Amino acid sequence: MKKHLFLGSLGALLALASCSNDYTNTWPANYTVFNLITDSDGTSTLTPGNYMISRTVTHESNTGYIEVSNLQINPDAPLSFSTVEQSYTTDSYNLFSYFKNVKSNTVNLNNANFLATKYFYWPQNTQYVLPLNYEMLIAQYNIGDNYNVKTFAPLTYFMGTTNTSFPYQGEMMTNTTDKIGYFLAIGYNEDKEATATLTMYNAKFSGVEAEPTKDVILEDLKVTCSAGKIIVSGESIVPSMIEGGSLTPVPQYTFKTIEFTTTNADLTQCQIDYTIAASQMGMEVEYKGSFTGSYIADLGGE
Amino acid sequence: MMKRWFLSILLSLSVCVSAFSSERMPEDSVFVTLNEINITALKQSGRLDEEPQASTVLSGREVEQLGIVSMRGVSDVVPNFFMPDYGSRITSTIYVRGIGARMDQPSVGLNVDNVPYLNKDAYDFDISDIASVVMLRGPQSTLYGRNTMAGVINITTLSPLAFQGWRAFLEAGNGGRVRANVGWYHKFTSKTGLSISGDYGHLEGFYRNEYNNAKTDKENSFSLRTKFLYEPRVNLQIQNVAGANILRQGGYPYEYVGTGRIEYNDTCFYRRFTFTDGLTVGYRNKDFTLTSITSVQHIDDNMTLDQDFLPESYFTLTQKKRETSLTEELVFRGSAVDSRYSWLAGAMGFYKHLNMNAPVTFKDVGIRELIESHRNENNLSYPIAWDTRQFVLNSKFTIPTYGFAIYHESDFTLDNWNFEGSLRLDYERSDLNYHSFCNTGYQIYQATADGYEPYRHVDIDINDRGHLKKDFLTLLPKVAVTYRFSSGLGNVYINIAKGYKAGGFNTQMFSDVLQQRLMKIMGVGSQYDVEDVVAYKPEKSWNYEIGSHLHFPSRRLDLEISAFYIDCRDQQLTMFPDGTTTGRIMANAGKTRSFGAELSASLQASSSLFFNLSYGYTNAKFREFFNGIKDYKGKWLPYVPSNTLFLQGLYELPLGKNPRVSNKLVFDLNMRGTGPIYWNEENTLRQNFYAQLGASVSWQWRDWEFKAWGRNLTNTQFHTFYFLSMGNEFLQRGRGIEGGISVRWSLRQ
Repeated sequence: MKKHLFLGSLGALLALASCSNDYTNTWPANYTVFNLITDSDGTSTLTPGNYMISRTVTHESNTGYIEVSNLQINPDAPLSFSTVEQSYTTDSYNLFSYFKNVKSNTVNLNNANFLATKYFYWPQNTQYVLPLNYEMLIAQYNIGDNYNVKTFAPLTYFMGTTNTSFPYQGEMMTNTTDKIGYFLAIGYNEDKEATATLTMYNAKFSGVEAEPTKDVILEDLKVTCSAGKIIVSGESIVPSMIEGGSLTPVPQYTFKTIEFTTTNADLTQCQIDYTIAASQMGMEVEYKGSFTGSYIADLGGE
Repeated sequence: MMKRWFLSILLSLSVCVSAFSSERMPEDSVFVTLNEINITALKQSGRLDEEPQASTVLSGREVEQLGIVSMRGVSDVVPNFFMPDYGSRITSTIYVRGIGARMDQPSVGLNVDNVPYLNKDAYDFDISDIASVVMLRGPQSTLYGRNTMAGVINITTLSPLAFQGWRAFLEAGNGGRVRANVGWYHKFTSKTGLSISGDYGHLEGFYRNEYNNAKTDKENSFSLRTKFLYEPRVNLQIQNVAGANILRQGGYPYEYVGTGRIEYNDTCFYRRFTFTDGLTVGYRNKDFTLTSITSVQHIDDNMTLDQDFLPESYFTLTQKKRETSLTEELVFRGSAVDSRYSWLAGAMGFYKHLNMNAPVTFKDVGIRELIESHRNENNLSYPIAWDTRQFVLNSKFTIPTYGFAIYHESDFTLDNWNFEGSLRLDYERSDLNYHSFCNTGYQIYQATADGYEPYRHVDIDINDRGHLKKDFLTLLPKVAVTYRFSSGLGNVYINIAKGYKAGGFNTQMFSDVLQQRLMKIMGVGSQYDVEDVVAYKPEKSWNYEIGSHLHFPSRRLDLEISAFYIDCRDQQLTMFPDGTTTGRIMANAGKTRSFGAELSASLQASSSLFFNLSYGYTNAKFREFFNGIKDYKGKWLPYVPSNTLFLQGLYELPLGKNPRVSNKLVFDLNMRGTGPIYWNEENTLRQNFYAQLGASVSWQWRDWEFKAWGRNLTNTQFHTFYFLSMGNEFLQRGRGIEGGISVRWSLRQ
């Protein structure tokens, strides 16, 4: 846990700072995310969106409201709305805020739950440095009866279990590890198509003890969505090593296939499957890996 | 009151001359020290053989008879005390009852003329004119503080108030051994004395580096010591002992198992300068005695190694350090009340400041096989070549450490029973400021159909600074119960005590941290978390002991028997990481346990025939130890001998008929046995039990002693050390037959 620190512990300092019985603290927080919008036919689209959560904390209560903007149910007419102010739950360290059954006076908002949390994994010693109060927004809600919306952060870091199988000295061996982390970055290319980069930290493909770990990047992966899931995939991807601050291709570990798929309703968990074409003592071999994990360390609230 | 003070000191010190053997000391023995403040006497209630703990006392005569000139010699004769020769005087490894450490914090404390030695790197040095050696086994943490978890050794040198005149010694032996010392002892008045002694030692060496045909273990040492005693008033004593030592030693005689040869190409040496000064001031009145012990120690050393110990140029290490330590201790001892209650209290503080510079130089073969090949295996299409065939990983450290402690002991006597309880509160803080830097680079090439073309250059510019700190607060209790037999047979005791060894920082691991950092920049490997790797926790133990000191005057037999059980938590163990790394790590191993028994016996079979025996057995195993890869539960602790054995027979043959003129031959036959010793946590490699036969014959005539001695006379083959580095196995051979002749002269004025 320590090497992939979630930044939540820093929030404890802020939570403990206020000890007066007579105070009011209001702060807004903005979130730029992707909205996975699924219609009643099961067709899904992934588009960017914006959220703002305003929270007011007093000695007696925690309340807040949410402003949603740029919800591209109709890309030509993005929807914006606000929710009614209501109370939310948190923990003693103020590391998450959970709004349950949120309502709006301007749209037919139902089954709406919003969670802003600091309990997420993040890779240490990388170029990705987050602001101190950064939170992940995990939201699920319906607009009317036809549209279901789920949020997904553009940058997520998954930790869990990786099972690999690989040939070694004439036998198929298996290995299980929880040390490999998967960093997913989703954005848009010049053609405004959603594309993704997946970085594997401390990756080890053969499982053999002598093989050193390495950080590899797979770029230009295709992003699609289907029936409420986000899928990131690629074929014949030559990964790169992060070497001396730049990238060096590593053809000997070409990924024949790789596929990332979210697996649960709130898109916090995923499965990643890959097959690598490698060379071992002059012979072509295949390494296979399968990962299951989550980017959230602990869900606050229910 | 003065008589009681004098008598208590005399009684407590007299044990120093009688506990090891029952040889009656001649009245003019030079080794009976009078009116001298001794740390053992300060902190023990009375005679050591009346104390509830296992102890070994060697008189000056016994020290000379056994040829002991350093702590290592003590290990031969004390049960379950093992101080092997690991090839350099910087490595003063001591194991007692399964507790020990090769690196960093010691587990046995050392005081020389009341000066506490805080750094184990300075433990191994030769001392001349030793008046007594006292070894207290078992945790002494309550009274002696940090790093006395397995025991404490107190060495006292000859006092100018006890002996006046000249002493000289000259020895020559095989291996090009030469040793000489001379001492001048003078009493200006009945209350003022001064001694000055100097020592020179030379060893040409026993082992040869086959790469350059030079002796690897060549050594020269010089030391100077002054001792000043002054009693301005009857209730005030002042003692100052100052000493300096210069050492120049060659490299480690490690043979590579693959070839069976000692063969390495880069320079190895160890150079050290130490200075110590200890000022002891003792004051007494009718209610208490107060003693102040102030010391300063300075170490300035340089260890340079061909760290791969191979004829190829992999890498070298230089470790230069300068450390200055200050200590101050106040000891209060209350006068006995109705002979039933006595007490002791004290306070101790220390500060030490260490500056260290430890660069690791990677050379051609090391760059190729440890770095380039490692990287290129993982990217065959884009191989690299280093810019230069040599570069340096630099590491500099500053480690200030300070601590203070207060302690108290109460002693209750009720008829034949004695109840003792003591407690110490100990606080220590250590900071580590580190600066690791490296400036180098390499070229990446791209494999093409026409060969390799330059692809990109990578500059490596590491400049890491950081600060770590650790502090430790601990309570160290001890309780003991003694029953004294009315018949004067002796006593039986039990004691329960907590032992403690300070945590700290293993600076040797920084080369690995930096190397991993380098590999990480290259896209390979995991970066170590500095604090996780470098810092280690204190080691704590609970020691349960039962024992007995028995005397059979009619049979002229003295016995000391003890049995112990030690439960150790977070034991600090030295491990060599798997794979191709350069350093060693200190790990807190989880839990270990050790149990065993000890027997010491001395018998005067006749007026001329004496026998000594000391035997120790230790069964030390891991209770819990999983290092992330393997589980070593139930395995024997490595480097700890299961058995230690010393047998000695002494026969004196008087010559001449004038009893006032010393004229005799002394024959000494002895055997030292050790083992078995496991070399690794897996217990797949071990050194079996081995014994070394020794003998000497000396002619003592008037003020002279002429002696011929031999050791390991049967040329027993054994190894004293094993380690694994970069996947290579190394062993250090034990010395074969050793022998020499010596002349000792003592002119009393």
